[in-house]
Amino acid sequence: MTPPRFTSLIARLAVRREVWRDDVLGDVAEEFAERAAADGPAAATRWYRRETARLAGDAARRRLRGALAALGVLFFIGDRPMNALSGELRAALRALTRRPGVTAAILLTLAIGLGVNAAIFDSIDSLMLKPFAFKDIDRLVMVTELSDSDPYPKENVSPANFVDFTRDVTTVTGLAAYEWSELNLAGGDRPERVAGFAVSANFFSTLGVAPAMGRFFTPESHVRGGHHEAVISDRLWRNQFGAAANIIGREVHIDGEPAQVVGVAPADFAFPDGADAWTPLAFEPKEAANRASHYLTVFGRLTDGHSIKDAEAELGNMYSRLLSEHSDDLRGRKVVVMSLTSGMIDVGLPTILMMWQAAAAFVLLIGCTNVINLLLAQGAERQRELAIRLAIGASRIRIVRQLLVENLTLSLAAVPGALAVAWLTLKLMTAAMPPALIRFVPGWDRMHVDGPLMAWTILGAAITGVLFGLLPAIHASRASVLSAVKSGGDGGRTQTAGQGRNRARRILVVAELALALPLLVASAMAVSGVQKFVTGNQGYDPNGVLRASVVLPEAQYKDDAALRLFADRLLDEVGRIPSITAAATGSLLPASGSNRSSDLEIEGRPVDKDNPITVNFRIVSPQYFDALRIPIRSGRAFGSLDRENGQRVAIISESLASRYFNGDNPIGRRMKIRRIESDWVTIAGVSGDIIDDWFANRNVPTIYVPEAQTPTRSVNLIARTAGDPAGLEADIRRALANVDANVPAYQVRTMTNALKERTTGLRFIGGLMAAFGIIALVLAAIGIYSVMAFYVTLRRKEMGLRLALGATPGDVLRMTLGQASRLSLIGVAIGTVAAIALARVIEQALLGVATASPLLFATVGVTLFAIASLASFMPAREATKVNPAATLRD
Amino acid sequence: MTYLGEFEQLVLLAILQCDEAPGGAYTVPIGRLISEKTGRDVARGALHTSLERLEAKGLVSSKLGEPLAVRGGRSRRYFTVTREGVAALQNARAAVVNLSAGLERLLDRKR
Repeated sequence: MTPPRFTSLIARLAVRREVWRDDVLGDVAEEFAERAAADGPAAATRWYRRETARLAGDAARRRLRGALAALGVLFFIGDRPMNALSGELRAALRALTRRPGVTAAILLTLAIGLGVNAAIFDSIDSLMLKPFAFKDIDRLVMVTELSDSDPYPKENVSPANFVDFTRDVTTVTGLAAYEWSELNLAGGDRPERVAGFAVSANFFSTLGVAPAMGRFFTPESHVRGGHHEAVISDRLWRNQFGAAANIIGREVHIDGEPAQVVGVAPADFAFPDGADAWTPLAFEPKEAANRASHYLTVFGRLTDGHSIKDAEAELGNMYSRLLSEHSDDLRGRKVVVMSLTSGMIDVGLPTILMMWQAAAAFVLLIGCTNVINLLLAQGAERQRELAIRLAIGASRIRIVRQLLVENLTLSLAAVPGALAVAWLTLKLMTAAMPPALIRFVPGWDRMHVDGPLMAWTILGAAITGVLFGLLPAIHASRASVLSAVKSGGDGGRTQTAGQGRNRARRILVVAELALALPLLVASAMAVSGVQKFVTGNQGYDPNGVLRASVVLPEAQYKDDAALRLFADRLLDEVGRIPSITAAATGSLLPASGSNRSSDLEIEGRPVDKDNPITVNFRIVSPQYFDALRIPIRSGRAFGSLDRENGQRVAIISESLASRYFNGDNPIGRRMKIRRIESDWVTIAGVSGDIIDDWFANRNVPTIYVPEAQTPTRSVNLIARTAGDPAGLEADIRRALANVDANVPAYQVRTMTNALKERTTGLRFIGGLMAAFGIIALVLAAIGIYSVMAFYVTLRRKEMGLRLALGATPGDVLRMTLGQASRLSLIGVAIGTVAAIALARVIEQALLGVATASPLLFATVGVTLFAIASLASFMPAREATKVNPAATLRD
Repeated sequence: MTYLGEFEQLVLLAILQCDEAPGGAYTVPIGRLISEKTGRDVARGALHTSLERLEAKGLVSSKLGEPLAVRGGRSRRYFTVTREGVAALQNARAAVVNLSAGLERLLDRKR
């Protein structure tokens, strides 16, 4: 009878490093044979498996011990780690359960600190490191043509360059491009404006996605004449087409032209930027030769054996050749290849996430400070026990080890709580994020408590345990036998017992405040900055305004006359609604999240090709300034005479006037607007500046031209009323339908809601920072309270003595509070210095939304000091209530 | 003077016991005897490591027997306690006996 072969192989593997390996293997084989004869082969096999498992377990333990020994840790843990540790573990558990209140407080603090950190760690992981789930995502790269003036990787490659890259590149395969193109889609339940993208042939195959239904595009799809086919998202299929089974082949209208739905994308696929529809990208010959307009986003897959560096080198060579041939179009640009993940990340997101992480780390540090304090307090009470153990021969290292094990146990015990906090935080974060924004932040749907998060939490707990455990452990091990024993059993409640600890405790109070202050400054900056952008002066008055958008399809609106007619009729219809006091149209409204700009040439000012004057460009109807209440600073607003046959005029914003006219009066000066290839346009007025978008478009130089002189397909209606603008919606929709029932109206909402939505991200950032600030404040207050409370307890006897010798309760209160205030002041001072040093970083992280003013520092400092004083007032009052007689008797 | 650990004493005593028995003193009966007499679970690794160490200290010696099919072609290793080993056991026992003198009433009380 021989042992089961596979198991015996494992047994051999388990002991292969041991000198006695053959003896042991022989032993188990022999015993197996004996058992097989006595108990039968099945029982013997079971026994053999158990024996093998034990051998393997023992071997693993020996191996681990070997590794620990190699790290020099053996010295710390002792030569029989498992036995020694389990003893210490038991002692630790005993010590922790002896004081359930303190233990619970520590666990709660740690759970909050660790949980918040884990949640932020997870959001960094999901949003920044792996927001997409594509196959072999680390081989996907983005190819960009960056320049100093155009540093954003998306929408950065010109069609002609894309064509050349695709033809010649060898280090990257399946080069694909997409172009953002929102479109009107009719043919479903109602006409809708959807997030569309025109995509090149390799788009889907390079990403490695397969259609859920139907097919993606064929080479023929990309022949110019496009928009004849469309792939729609799972979401659109469900919402607009009622998940119709016969969707493939369905005729729809895209921007007024017929097209066929050929495929439905998989349910979780919404690349890029929450796309709902994909159409084939196809260039006209003229466009295929266009090198000057950089609007394509280009990506591909690295070929085997090539790295991002290789691709960048190859494309770089190609590009320097292109640069010499087309220097005007490509001036100042260079090819940069990066991972698709980093290229797709929203600008500013990494800084914001890092700021959150830093804030979370501060929360944890403040939490640790509290825990250290609680442990110090505990250490004081255990002073006597430790002192005696030291006196009868326990080594100091053993005591430090014991306390460290205790603290590690404590911090690891906080892990389940921390995971719960992390789960809750992530839930709240995802819930607070509106769908409109989630669309643009891939990875939100992947934020949850998972393996990496747990691993991080445990690691974080271990590090934290060592960090906060070391100081109290070392302190406790210094216990002096003499003083501990002398104090007669009440655990060192005299001054002599704890000079060192008193100093440590004073440092803790200072540390609490010094840590809390920078975080509070950051929170206050975020909150006040957000406040400024959400409810502050926008340069226009969003209240009482309803907005609605349409885009006029080329098929039905072929020329300027048709566009002009639509605008005139629309304003005419809307003008009949009695409750509306002013109505206008604009090509792009504030808080819409996008922008259009144009280069300018100013008469009498030399043209600098490398640094063109680029300004925001808006086409508006005469009442625009009136309806939005944008002030006209000088000159005039547009009037009914600024029509197609009148003099070409423009209104410029204050910032444009001041930046490019050096204090001269710009009225009557002339400019050429490149975007519309205009002839000379005369400046008729100067308007106030507005905040178009908090993110990147505040008080930017802007030029306005009259709608009648430059008709546009993007018609955005604004209507002002004295009443509730939301009530206008039905009237506005009716007016639009009266003019053309076939163009879908979208983003029909009040201006204040539009503004609110645009600032959602910002409010979210601010909200989270505020939450961090509040947690930090509460933790710091609890910490200071407990330090002071403990301090007072320690000095009961002294207080009693003072009262007995004639000090008034007021004296005692003043003394205690005075000491607390001194410490608070030091903490606030250090914190302020740190916050001033950090202010620039915070400003940057908050995208310049907030600035750190002396007033803000002062407010935060005073608030924190007040809270610290309040937290120490209660224990201080306790001190005055000490009964002198009672304390002296003790 | 060699110091003997408690487990080492048990191992030495078990070897001596097995030497008297018919099968001889190799690892299987040694381990089994310790388990039976002390009621503790003897880890194979620990037993072999201990034997290795005792041999290095010169307290036991070993020789290999014939290869056996039942052991997968491996030999049994038979142990004997050397003179030094016996001396070490005697010393350890003497220490226990000397320290126990006069405590008979306490130590012998109903086991």
